[in-house]
Amino acid sequence: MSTFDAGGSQLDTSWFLLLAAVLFILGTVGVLVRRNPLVILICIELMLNAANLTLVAFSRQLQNLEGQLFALMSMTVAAAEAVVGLAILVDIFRHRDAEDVDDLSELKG
Amino acid sequence: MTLAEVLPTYGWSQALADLGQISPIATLLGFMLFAIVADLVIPPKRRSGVVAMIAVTGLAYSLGTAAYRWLYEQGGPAYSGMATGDSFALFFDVLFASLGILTVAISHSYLQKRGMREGEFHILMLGSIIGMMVLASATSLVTVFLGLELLSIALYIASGFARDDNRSQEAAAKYLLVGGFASAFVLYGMALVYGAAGTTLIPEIAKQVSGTAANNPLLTLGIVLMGVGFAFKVSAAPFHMWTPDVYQGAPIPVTAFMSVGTKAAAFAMIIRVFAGGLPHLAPEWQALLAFVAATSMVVGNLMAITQSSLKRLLAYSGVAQAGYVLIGVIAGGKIGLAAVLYYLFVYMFMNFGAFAVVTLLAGPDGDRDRLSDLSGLYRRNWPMAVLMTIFMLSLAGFPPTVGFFGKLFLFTAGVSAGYTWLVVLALIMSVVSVYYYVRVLVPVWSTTGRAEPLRASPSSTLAIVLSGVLSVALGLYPTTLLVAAQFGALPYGGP
Repeated sequence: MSTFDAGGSQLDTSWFLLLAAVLFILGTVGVLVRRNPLVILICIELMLNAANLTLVAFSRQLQNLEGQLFALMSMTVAAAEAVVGLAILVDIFRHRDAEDVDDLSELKG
Repeated sequence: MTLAEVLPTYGWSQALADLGQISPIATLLGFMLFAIVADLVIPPKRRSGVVAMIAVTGLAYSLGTAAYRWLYEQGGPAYSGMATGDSFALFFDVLFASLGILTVAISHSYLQKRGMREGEFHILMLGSIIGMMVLASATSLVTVFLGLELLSIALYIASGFARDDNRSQEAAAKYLLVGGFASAFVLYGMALVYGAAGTTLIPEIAKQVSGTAANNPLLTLGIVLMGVGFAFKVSAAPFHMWTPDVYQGAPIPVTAFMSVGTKAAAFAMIIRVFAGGLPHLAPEWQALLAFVAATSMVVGNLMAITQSSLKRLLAYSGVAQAGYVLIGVIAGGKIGLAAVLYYLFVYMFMNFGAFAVVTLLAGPDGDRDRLSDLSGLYRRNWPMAVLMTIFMLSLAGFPPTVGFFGKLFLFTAGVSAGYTWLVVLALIMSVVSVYYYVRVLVPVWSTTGRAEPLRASPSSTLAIVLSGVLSVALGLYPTTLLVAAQFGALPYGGP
């Protein structure tokens, strides 16, 4: 069982893995090149969801529910991380205007 | 299979046995929930002391439970192999519970001095410690990820705990963005390993990988991605850039806690996943870790030389120390892993002690962590100057302190495993490190500078003195701890 039966047509698992890999790379590049902390947080979420997609695709291919369980757990964790992340960023925006992570540069040496 | 068919097979006896295996974690979780309720119902004036007491009691109970199980009970897998209560987990439970008690002891007076809320702080610390314990007990990739995130998310909040301090906020934001980035790498790596091995249970992965899947490119990519994520978490170079900023910005008790705790927890995770799950791919991950270890030792030690902030200096020293510990992980086997556990345990006392002395210097406006702030320490409070000297000499690795024996065990293991070049590099870099550790001691013993007495609260004094005494005593009598470390390394010690 290495294919998905989607409405009669067969779709190989590798397409799902490829999509996930593209999403992951997009997220990574986004974190590295974008300067707005909020956008960076969104890119991290994109990377986490690429990993989730990989887990679910493998879970389907292997006929094994562990991957789906893992994806559910990591979605919960990602939600918690997003909440804390937004709270920290909101707290910073209240004190100063930090649209650019390069503004967060008091700590250096 | 429906739920009704599954449930009867999971009876009370099994449930209690599973709970017993993770009892140090369960105990602490109970106390944490109790502390949250207490923080709600107790009037604000008495709240902080009560929550601190609950935290210390919970940690002491957890420590006692772990010690009891260590001595009298047989550790084994729990929850269908998702977690375990073996001697490796218990060793780290004892380490994290002790660290938690020390942290509560030094943070009480610090938080009062800076006028910060105390209840939430201790609850966050308990949450983070539970995450670390989960990580040390994890035998499934799912549990590893959950433990890692629990410890990290609590620390993101804790490092931004001084909300009015721009530097603390900046530390929190940087830690969050870099930590989240690293977590994404870990998760994607785990997903690929799951796809290649067909299971998330680490012992099962070891069985699968020994067979056909060993040459699978998915597996190699998964190992590299997980390795990058883990290197971020242990703050090893070249993935260490966040460490100095976060250590400098976070309130000092948090820095002291995470400099020891996250490092130990991340090493527990590396051993669980790499030594436990991928023993047949040892050459691959050993090569990766050897590169990371070498870079960490060079970068950490060289960057530490020029620092003027003690927190940043200790952060770079921590990067270098992560490199030394990695030698033991790479060497592996009974000797190597026992050396790692020994070093992580004694690192707690020497590194925590050094940060704890800096905690005393803090004023209501913020942390005073410049090297010049230490000047005249021996005239202000001579016992603290003596203890600071012990911590610095121990970190530099002078005999008869614990730092010397810790390094000796690590380097011996490295040589006997055939990594002589790495050990030679480590020895050269240790010599370099003496310069900056001694540089800290110059202002401590200088005759100029401030002269007004430095007061220390009883609980802080107790924690610092205990760390100092153990930094010497465990060096003079290393046998007991070394035997304990060997017992702790037993699950992965091999023949």
